Amino acid sequence: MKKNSSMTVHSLLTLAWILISLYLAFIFAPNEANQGNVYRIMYIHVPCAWSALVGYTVIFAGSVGYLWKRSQFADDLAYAGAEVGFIFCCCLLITGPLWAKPVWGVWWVWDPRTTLTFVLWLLFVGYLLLRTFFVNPAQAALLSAVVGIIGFVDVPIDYMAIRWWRTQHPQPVIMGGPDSGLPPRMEIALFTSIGAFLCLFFYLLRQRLHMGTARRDLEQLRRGETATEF
Amino acid sequence: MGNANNEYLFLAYTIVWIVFMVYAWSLSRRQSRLTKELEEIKKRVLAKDEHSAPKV
Repeated sequence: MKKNSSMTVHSLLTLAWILISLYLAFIFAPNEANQGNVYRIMYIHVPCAWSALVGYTVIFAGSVGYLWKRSQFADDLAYAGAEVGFIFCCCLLITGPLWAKPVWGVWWVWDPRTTLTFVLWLLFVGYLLLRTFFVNPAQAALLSAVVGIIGFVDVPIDYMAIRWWRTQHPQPVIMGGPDSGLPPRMEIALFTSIGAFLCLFFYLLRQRLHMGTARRDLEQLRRGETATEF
Repeated sequence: MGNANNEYLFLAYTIVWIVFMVYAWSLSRRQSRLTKELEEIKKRVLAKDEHSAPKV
């Protein structure tokens, strides 16, 4: 019952936070001088980006835990992080072009940030395909853990891409240096949105992790049932 | 440029929230199915244990 009530609290907190962030994004935050209303896509695009990067970081942490300690929980955590992170990465790659088209005039450019984000998406896909198509669960866990650790190289490079290189993608507005930043109301709206999406990410992660653990219990019970039949 | 390109804004928010709602619903459905299967297997295992327990 404790887990159920904590999930209920988490879901209500997430919902409230999302509603507040929507209010801030559409009502509180001012219009942008050059882009007009369309810039408000930032209040879902940037949070999706953060959540996708956190998602792969969860894969990395779980993969290290699995390879180091052969922890089933760590493996379940990595798989859960992959699935939930993939969803946020898809939303990131959907909102990006929807923002780019009216502002840049094109749906996509292959600059360092966008390319590395696409690579991140491919890493999520690769990880999930390995988990789905390897019949032997131990083999799947091992290979996925290797992909989870090696693929993590993309995360810091993707994050730093707009700082290291001149890109079509906008320069950072968070911790970007002396000339970067947003007006205060936009900043409040953005940080609230990032918090809301991370809250949603961890809620979905907990749900998915709980499901993964239940699936593992089911498989163990099935194996036990089959063994007693023989 | 205030109201121009509002369709992109509308599309972005609509797609993202539909994706999250569909995913949350899918998770919930998968969880319910797993819980149901777990209960059924537990019942079968318990029934087998009772059947094979020595009668005193």
